[in-house]
Amino acid sequence: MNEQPFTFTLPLADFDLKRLPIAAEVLRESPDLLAQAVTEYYTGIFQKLGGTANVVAANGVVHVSWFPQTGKARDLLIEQALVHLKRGNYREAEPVLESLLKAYPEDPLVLFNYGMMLSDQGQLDTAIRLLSQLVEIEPDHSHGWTALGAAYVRSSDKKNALQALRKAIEIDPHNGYALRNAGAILGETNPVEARILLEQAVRILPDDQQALLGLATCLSQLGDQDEADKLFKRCIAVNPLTNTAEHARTARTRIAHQKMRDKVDGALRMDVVMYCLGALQKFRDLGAGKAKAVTIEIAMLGRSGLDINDPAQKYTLKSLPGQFSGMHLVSVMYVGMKTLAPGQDTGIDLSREYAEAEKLFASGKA
Amino acid sequence: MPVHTIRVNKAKLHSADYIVAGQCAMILRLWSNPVRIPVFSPIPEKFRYFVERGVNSLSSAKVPAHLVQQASVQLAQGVLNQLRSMPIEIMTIRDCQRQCPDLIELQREAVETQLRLHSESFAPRIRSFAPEQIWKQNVSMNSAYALNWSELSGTKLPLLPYQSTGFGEVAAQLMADVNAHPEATSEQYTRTVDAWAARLGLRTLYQWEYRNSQS
Repeated sequence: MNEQPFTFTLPLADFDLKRLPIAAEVLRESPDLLAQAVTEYYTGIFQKLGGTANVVAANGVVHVSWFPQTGKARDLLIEQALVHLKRGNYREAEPVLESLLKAYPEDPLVLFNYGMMLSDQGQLDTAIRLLSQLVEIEPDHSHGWTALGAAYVRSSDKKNALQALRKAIEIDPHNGYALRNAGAILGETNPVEARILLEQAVRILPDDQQALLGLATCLSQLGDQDEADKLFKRCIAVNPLTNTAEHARTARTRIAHQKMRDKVDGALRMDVVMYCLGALQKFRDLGAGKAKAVTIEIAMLGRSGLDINDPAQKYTLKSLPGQFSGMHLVSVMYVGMKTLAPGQDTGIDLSREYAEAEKLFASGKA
Repeated sequence: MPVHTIRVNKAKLHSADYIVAGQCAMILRLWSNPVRIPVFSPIPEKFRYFVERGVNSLSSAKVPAHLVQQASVQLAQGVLNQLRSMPIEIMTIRDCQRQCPDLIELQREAVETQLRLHSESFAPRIRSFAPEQIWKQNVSMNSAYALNWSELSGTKLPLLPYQSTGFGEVAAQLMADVNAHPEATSEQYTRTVDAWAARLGLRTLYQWEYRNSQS
């Protein structure tokens, strides 16, 4: 048994009641229930770590003592917190880091990891306070400056964010995350400088979705749509299921849409009108149930990208016979969404063609 | 091809995988026999009587007279809705934990949010308003939900408010009803609902109808 226990004390009033599966107003009404719940909460956390845990809540304060079986309590707890953070399990990491901060308020590792976690959770004031404290204690902590910059970005303080990120790059010019985040901020006002930073970031972090998205967005702003589209595609390929991939998909749709309109100088696409008209007729014959199945199948297919600027009929559906071009399928999906879920964003604006098709459909000309 | 569309609120998008898994688990159970899909149907005249009893209890509580009828209907519908949905919710929570272990954190978040909402029944603003009988029926079912999660997560925390107010025993009885029929079928669901209803005095208020039934 280790002789040195890990101990900390927390006023019950400072305990974050959102961590408990019991309504805060009920806990506030019943001090006994609150004391019991907080005791149970910390007992659960420290018992899981092995060793012996003593938790006592009395007189509005909770006292926690943990005697690890072997090793140093601080190191074991930090190791534990890092395991949870790596898995994205903030719920388990938070009480461990909070306890560590109580016991070691100037520990750079604790300040960095707790600060980063709070920033990810949107607790930005506390995150900025802890990360500022970290770079004060360790002014050459490039990742600390990067994390501080990210927390400022999240709190919409771009000036301080850029300052912190420039400091991080100055300390370590190969800090890909600082380059990426600084590039993203500059992209809005100075895409030329942003491009230089983002290109470096992508070289250092070739599989980082946000760096790829940032560079692609920047190139799109600078007018290089072909190169931008390639990078958006690469960004999606890294992990198609993330929000970043969703942004890249939206941007690709925008580029494809622009190209589609440019082909006819912004005029009405008569081929799309006819596709929409065909879909209106088909859906009338098939009925709502079948129409829904077709629409959903196209929407699912569209997740991996439908090429609307290639006229080749290279797509097939399980729910509808025939071969289709990308534009044809998108038109059918547009009609399906308009009739089945009018409020839903289709991601592409075919409203003029759809309106024209509806007129033709109503007049029974086709 | 039958289609079940799930529209996820943007605010809940991060939990979409768990929401979809839960819906799938529920469909698999309720549709285990596609020609006999159970539909919980309140019996109108019994339901009206149940509402009237609620009206009498509410009249003596602190509810403005013009809202008594409406409040009683809402409370009665609420408790029946809970009876219909909570057993299947408990079963799908178990199914998801067993079959989708990667979703455990999303599940924990969803279940704990639900537990917090359920425990609001102990708040004085609810306690003083709800008729005693409906309040007990509601809290009893909530206690089973809490016990289920307590067993799955290995912590007594969710159960604390129920144990301290004497609902520990009814929680165990209701969970025993769930465990009495381990097979993942729609029959298990209807039998569990019936067992809960019998225990809570709600059995006469509804009947089962069956969709796609050939008979």
